[in-house]
Formats: sequence, C-alpha cells, structure tokens
Amino acid sequence: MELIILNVLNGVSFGAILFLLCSGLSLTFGVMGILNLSHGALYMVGAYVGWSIAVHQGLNFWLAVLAGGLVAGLLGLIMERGFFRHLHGMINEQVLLTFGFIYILTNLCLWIWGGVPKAPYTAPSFSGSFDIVGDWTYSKARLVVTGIGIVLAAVLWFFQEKTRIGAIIRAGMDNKEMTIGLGINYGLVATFVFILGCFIAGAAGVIGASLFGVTLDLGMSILLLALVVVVVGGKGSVQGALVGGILIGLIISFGKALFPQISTFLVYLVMIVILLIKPSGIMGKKVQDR
Amino acid sequence: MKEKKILFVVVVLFLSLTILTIPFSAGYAKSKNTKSIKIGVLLPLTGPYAMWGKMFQNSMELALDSVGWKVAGKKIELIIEDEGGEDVSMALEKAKKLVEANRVGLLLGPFYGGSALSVMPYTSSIPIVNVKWSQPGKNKNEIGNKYGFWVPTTYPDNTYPLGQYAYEEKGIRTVTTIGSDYDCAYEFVEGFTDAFKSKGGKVIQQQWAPLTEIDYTPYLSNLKMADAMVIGTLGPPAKLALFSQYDQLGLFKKMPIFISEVGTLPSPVMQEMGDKIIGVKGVEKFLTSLKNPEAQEFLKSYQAKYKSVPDDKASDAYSGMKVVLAALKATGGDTDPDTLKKALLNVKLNLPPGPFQFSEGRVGMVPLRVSEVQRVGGKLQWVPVKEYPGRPPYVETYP
Repeated sequence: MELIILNVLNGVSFGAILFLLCSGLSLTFGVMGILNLSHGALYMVGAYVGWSIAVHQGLNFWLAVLAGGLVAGLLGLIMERGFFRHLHGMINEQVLLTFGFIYILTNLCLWIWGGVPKAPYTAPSFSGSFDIVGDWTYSKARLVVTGIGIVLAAVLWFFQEKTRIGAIIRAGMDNKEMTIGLGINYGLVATFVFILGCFIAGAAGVIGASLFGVTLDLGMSILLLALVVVVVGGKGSVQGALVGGILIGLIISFGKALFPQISTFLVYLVMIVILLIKPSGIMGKKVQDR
Repeated sequence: MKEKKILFVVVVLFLSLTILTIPFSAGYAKSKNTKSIKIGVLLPLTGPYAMWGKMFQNSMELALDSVGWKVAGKKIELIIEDEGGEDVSMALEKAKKLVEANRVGLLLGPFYGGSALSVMPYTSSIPIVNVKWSQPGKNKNEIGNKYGFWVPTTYPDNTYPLGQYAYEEKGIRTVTTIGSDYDCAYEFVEGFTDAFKSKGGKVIQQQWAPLTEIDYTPYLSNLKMADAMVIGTLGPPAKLALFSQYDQLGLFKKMPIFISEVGTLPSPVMQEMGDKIIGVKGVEKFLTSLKNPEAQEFLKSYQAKYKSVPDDKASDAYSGMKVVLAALKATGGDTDPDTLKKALLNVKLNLPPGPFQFSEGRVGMVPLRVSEVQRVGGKLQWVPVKEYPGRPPYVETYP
C-alpha cells in the first residue's frame, strides 16, 4: 500500500514538472511549428538564475521563480527574433540550430556558475517533509510542485480556451493563412507564445530545482522525456501536456519501483503504442502542414 | 634494358623514401636526445566532467612548478587537449593528434571511463607510456596496453576497506545497495559487497538506476530495510539528488549511508546539503584534513595559487605528475617506453595521500581512509576514522 501511495504521489509530482516544461514546448511546436530542442536548456538556465537569487543572494524564492522565467523569456525573445523567424517550416535547420543552442547555453552556464552542481533548493516554508503512511515521510516541495502544475494547467487552459489571444492561437493552429487573412498579426501572437513558453520553462527550472538540484546536463537529460510527453499528449494542447506529463510521470515512477530493468523501455513502449493508435497524441489536434 | 633501368630507379626511389620517412611515421617520439620532453594530456575541459578539468590542469602545473618545469636538465612542454564529455570519440581524435602531430613522449589521461575505452585500442597499439589519474576497472579496461599505468587503485579495491569497516567496526550485518547502471558503479558496489560478504555480511537487495537518473524516489520507495544503505551512484549530480530524496522520505533516520566516492561530494555542495549528511561514511585516498607534510604542502600551495581547495581527484592528477617526474628523472629524461616503464615501476614516493608505489600490475598503491562527514569548525567536512594501508589490488591482473 505504501508503495502505491508513494509512487502515485511521485508520479504526479514528476508529471507536474514534465507538464511545466512541456506546456511551453508543446505550444511553440503546435502554434509556430518550431521544435525547440533548447527548451530543456532554458529550463536549466532558469534553475541556475533561481539559485543565484534564492541561495546565493538569499532572496525570496518566488522572486527567483520570476527571475528564472524572465531570463529564459528574454533568451527566447533573442532566439525567436534573431533566428527562428527566418526558419519557419525548415525543420532540419531548426533541429540543428536549437541543438547548437543547448551547447551554447550549457557552456554559458559553465562559465557563469562553474561546473560544481547545485544542491536542491526551495522556499524555507516548503523544505522538509511530513508523515504520510507508516514510517514514511513525504517532501513538502513535491506537493507544492504538484499544486503549481495544476494551477498553471488551469491558467493556461483558461488562456487558450477563453481569451481572445487563445482563440487566435487555436485559429492559427487550424488554419494559419485564414487567420492572417482576417487581418490578425499572427506573427506577433506567435512570438508572444514562444516567449511565454520560454518563460514557463525558466520558471519551471526554479520550481524543479527543489526536487533535482541544478546540473549542467539538466538541459539534455530532461529534453528526451519532454519530447516524449509532447508526442504522447499531443502538440499544441495544454490539456495534452498535462495528461501526457502525468501519464509518463506515473509510468516512470511505477516502472522504476517495480520493473527497474525495463522502466525506460516502458516509457517508449507507451509512446509507440500511442503513435500507432493516435498519431496526433492523446489530446492533440491534427494541425495543417506548415 | 631501358625498362629495367626505369624499374631500378623507381625501386631505389621508393626504398629511399621509405627509409627517409621511417622516423616521421613511427607515430611516437623518444626524448632521449632532445632538449625538451613533450607530455600530452587529455583533460575533460567541457561536458559533464568539466568541473574537474581545470582542477586537474592546476594540479599538474603545480607539480611542474615544484621542479621549475624541468627534469634531468630538459624543459618540459605540456600539451593539453580537451577530451570532451559524452562524445568519447573526441578523446581518441585528440590522443592521435597528441601522439602523431605533436609527437609527445608520453601521454597522461584521459579521465572519463568512456573516453578511456575509446582511446584503448589506439594506446594499446603504440609503444608509448600512458599514465592515468582516473581509476581503472578490475580488469583495468586496457589489459592489452602493457605501457598503461594507473595512479589510483581499481574501483573495487577502493571500496573494499569500506565493506570491512562496515562489518567489523560498525556491526552492520545486512545492506541494501543502489548504484548507477554502469560498469564502474557495479565494481564500486562489488568491492564493498565482496569484503562485506567475506566477513559474513548479507546483501538483501541491489538496485541499479540509469546513469543520468535524477529522480531516485521510486527506487527508495521500494527499499528493503537493512542495517545500512550502500550507494554506488556516480558523480555529484546523482548523489545530490539521491541524498536530497533520501532525506525527504525520512530515511536518514532509518539507515546509515556508505558511499563509494568521497570526492564526488565537493565541499561547496556539502555545505549546501547541510547537517542531514552528518554521519555519512565513505572511503578515499586524499582528504583535506590529512596532516602529513606532503598533503599540507599540496593544499597550501594549491590554495595560494588557485584560491580554491583541491579534492581527491585533483590530488591524483598532482600525484600522477609527481610520479612521472620522478621516473623521468631516473631515466635522464628518456621516454623510451620500456625504459620509462621500468623506472615507473621503481618509483617510491611520499605523496599527498601517503607512501606511493605501483603494484606489479601497474596500479598505484596508497593508503585508503574510511571517513565520516562531521561538522568541524563550523564547516561540514570528511574526517578520517580508520586508515587501511596501500596494497596490491585484490583482483590483480597482468598483461
């Protein structure tokens, strides 16, 4: 029983981190057709910026979350205006460019913060654990991460489904030319979505640092799982990122606890099955080719 | 007749060219009659092990400073190349460049195990001494390289005393282990469990996580309770995540921890982790708390020059260079592989970790210290609790 409760909680909290990371990745992929492989590196940059604010400077944790998001958002703005706007529909160039950004950002972090990894950090009120079942305790930070994930999912869902910008985004995903034909500056909206996605990745890095700390290979190690979540959940869908994140989180958690030898394989098995049954992902919409 | 003459000229030309190019195509250089000795070094200056690269370079240069960058009247030229990180083919390319283009007399490194495996077929195929400051596997990974030397002992030999200590001194009778799913982590754990089981201890569970794992909570939720937990995960990031998650599940109060590499918990990281890691035990050769004159001198000069504290791996790089210098002094600066090999096997030195010499299988023998995290003078640090003398690997192999 303890095993089930602990792993449900673990899976959901890990899924929440994956959701925080993938919501932006999924939106930019769905809305702009840009596969930003450096999204994980922006997560890492956010985590390092947050460490400087919360640990090195000893300032407020939420300020660190904001700063991590802003720096990642600013980097996103530079990337989008400087590079991606010239590469629409050029998937090979995007992959090469964004892969290059991973190396550039990783080495920038090495230069600024050094090679020594940073220990997990969070707000003082979220540190520590509480009794959960039997002799086991559970991390407060993990519950907070889960809560943040749920709140952000609700906010992003509202934004995408109930606001004018959200309607433009959905319209653009269905038919970009028609949306532009209606006199809407779709390019501006797409840029906004890209920066928003990067902001969320940076903020997620600070929030995720409470569980995993910060290391230089964080950008690369979390990227593959993020892509799996986007494929499983469906690109361009907030609900898809949430469902995909939680599903993959639970599979990883139970897989490691019960079948450690094949836990990694299980994740990809699920991805293959979903690709065979529903190639657009669990909640994904069929998007026109760009 | 004319054709025969042409053929004769062609054959003579070919033979002449072949003879003339022999010295340049040998692929390695000897320093017997040269004014300088070229030492090629492969260091991880980028990638996940970059945190150590600069420290290794500093340590080697510090050792060279102590002899004024000269040995046996010859100037020492250090040629450093980045071995990279996870792309292990880079180390091979750089090794070839050092040997064939720079024509170094001997090679130091690489550090990362994967890079070492990548370089192995090449270094085994050429007559050049290759000294490493990274730990070898129990079969030394490079069994074919008869000129290969390893400054630290093998992975299982490093943790063997820890297994003895756990059983004999702490009364531990059962352990559960968790380690990275990677060969050197298996051997770290194996060294502990071999010693532990030889005394009568029981291993009740073994779990292996992917090398890049950052979330250990699922493994910990499936933990079988034992007298102690043995951690054989690799690198600081894995330990940071594991320790933090071990704490979050309240496990520090239930099971004491024994870890394979003290050096993978650098001082700044220890301070950030806080008092929860007090009592964690590990094993290592060099500790900043050692009082022998060589350790003190190394620490003092390193801190004075680089304004930071060297760790165990940095001490290996320093020791490696000191050993090389002693051997070169004995050969009069000759880097002929057989001459240098013989000299290296005869080196006996007092180094920062203690008295050093190579085993017959060319693996360094120095004392190992079982240590414990304690708060000393307001700072968390490793404090030695028992010393085990240096000895040949318990699974010694000879090429």
